[in-house]
Amino acid sequence: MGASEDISRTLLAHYPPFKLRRLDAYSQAGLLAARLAMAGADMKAGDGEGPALLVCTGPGPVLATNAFMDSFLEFGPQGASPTAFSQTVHNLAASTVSMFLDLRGPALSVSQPAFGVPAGLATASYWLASGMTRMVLFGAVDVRSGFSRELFGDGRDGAEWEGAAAVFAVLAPADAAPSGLALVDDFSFGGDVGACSTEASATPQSHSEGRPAGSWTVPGARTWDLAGPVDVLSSLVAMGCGLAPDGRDVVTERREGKSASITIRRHPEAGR
Amino acid sequence: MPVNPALATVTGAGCVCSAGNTLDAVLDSLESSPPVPAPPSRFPEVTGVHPVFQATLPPGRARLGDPGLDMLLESALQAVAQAGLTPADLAGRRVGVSIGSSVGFAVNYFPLYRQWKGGDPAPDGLLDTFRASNYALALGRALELDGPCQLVATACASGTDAIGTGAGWIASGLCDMVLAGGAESLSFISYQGFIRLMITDPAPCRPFDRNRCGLNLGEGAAVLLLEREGTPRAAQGRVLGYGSASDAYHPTAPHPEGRGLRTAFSAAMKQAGVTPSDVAFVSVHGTGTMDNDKVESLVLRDLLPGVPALATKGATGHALGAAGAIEAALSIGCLNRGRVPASPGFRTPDPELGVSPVSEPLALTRRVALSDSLAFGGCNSALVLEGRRS
Repeated sequence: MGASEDISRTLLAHYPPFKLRRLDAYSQAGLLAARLAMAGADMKAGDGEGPALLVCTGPGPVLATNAFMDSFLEFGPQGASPTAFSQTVHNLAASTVSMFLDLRGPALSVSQPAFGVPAGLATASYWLASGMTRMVLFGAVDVRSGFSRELFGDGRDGAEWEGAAAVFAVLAPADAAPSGLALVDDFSFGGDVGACSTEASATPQSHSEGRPAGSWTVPGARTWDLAGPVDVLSSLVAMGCGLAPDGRDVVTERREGKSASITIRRHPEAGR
Repeated sequence: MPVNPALATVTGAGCVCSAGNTLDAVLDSLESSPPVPAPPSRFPEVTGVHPVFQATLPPGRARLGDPGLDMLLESALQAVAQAGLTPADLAGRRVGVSIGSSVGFAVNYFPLYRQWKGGDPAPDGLLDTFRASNYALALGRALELDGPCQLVATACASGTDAIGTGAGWIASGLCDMVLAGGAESLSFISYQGFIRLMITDPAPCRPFDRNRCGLNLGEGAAVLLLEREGTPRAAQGRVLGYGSASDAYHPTAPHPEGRGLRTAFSAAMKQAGVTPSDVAFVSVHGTGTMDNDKVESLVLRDLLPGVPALATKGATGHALGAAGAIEAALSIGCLNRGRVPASPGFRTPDPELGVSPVSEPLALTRRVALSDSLAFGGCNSALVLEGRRS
């Protein structure tokens, strides 16, 4: 994440201005984060093969949707902007990344305020295990603004970023990646009572009573009330880089009596 | 014949759209008297005459405050019932929800945005409805399901992708069951947007027709109940394969050679272990736009020469995120009836396309079908579906 100007300036080092002219902050943040992730994994864009792509978003490209609505409000039905409309699709980030990085494999977008990252990871895991793809470029992109806060919450506590934010990671099968940052061991889904677990042994971390709805926890850290895909994925990536001493940890997303947990641990080869 | 194990077994299917309020009703309508589109009655802001296919739920079925959600729940309940289950029977099972919709979270927040721009507070009821309006989460909440839940938002390929990824959850062992499908309600935003893109037809649409000039929007929902092979419940069909690929070309126009669609078709057929000679028909995306039908026909000519094509949007409209799910459900229905209807709206072959959808009812001699979708953002997806085995 960063100021729109900073993101644009960084992208201009790679693309001419005319190619970026139609990308708003949401798309630019997603593109830059995806580029950085691929670079970090020594992957090059443009070879036509590339990883599969899976992008999670909360409400999608709110700024673009609002821009279309502005054109309607200002100019009426006959003057509403078709260009703005074409950018209201909720797979905009994935579309932008695939075009600019020439990724021609599967490209999925998941749009929901909660549990998108765990569900997306389950899908990505199957893609890798089934051989559908060798790698997945997995990301989360969102924007926050005054209007989105009006729509999606009162911004208690955890919503400490404004504007556009994106985080991407490259996923590969554990046995095919000789080195990496972290391993995703398990995900489980359930309610607070009578959880339906997966076959793996990891269990959701217990939480203290009174945790507000919509919260998820980083052990030993804050509880964020306005969690979304960017918050969840960035926490996973951060935890993958530096975990608790026992090296294994669980991120649990909870909302309205339901939960989804992701168990991760630091890769044994990380840092070598 | 298919040589690979199925991804998932379909034990129930439900569908609500302009052509009918159950899957059988929709198929009956396609075979006898398909509906025609009419000007929308739901948008007071709009005075346009571009017709749409608007659905009407039976009385008493409006439960959740949004037509798309109501149709989704109704379709899910139909699928569960066809499997011989009740919603209470789903408790304690690992049941996932994978629903496609183009608008995802934003059912239509234009009224809220207009209030906010004017400095007025948002009406509380409207805000609460919006906040609870993510189709996948709402369905999971309505049926008290605790498994993985995703709203697939790949524009017009959403429904196809939701079923394909939901079948993957079954195949991976993550879930015992998945309610997979799509839902969409007519949106003022989408209605205006497509008109401004100049790809809507002011008359009833004509997929693959020489005189086609655009699409008609529609709405609806379809849900398949997916289970593992070996389920004790009767199989209505199977999902044999799923393929997805990106054009990586343009935000709205398909790749002129259809490279993403080719890859999606090939991947799906490879996963299913089928060849074109196994395929009874292809349920095409067939929107009636110049670009889509041209590219889709090019790929069909090359990959599936001689395979009959069924285009159904002339009776359902383009239900965007629900379209792929509706067409998958219809495909399984046609396979089980052993016939496909004539493609509504199509009349005059276009020699430039070289592919025409079926214009007369056709008896089927094979039990595998393909169903494909192309979408804004360059998404292309395909399913390989099988009907009941005798």
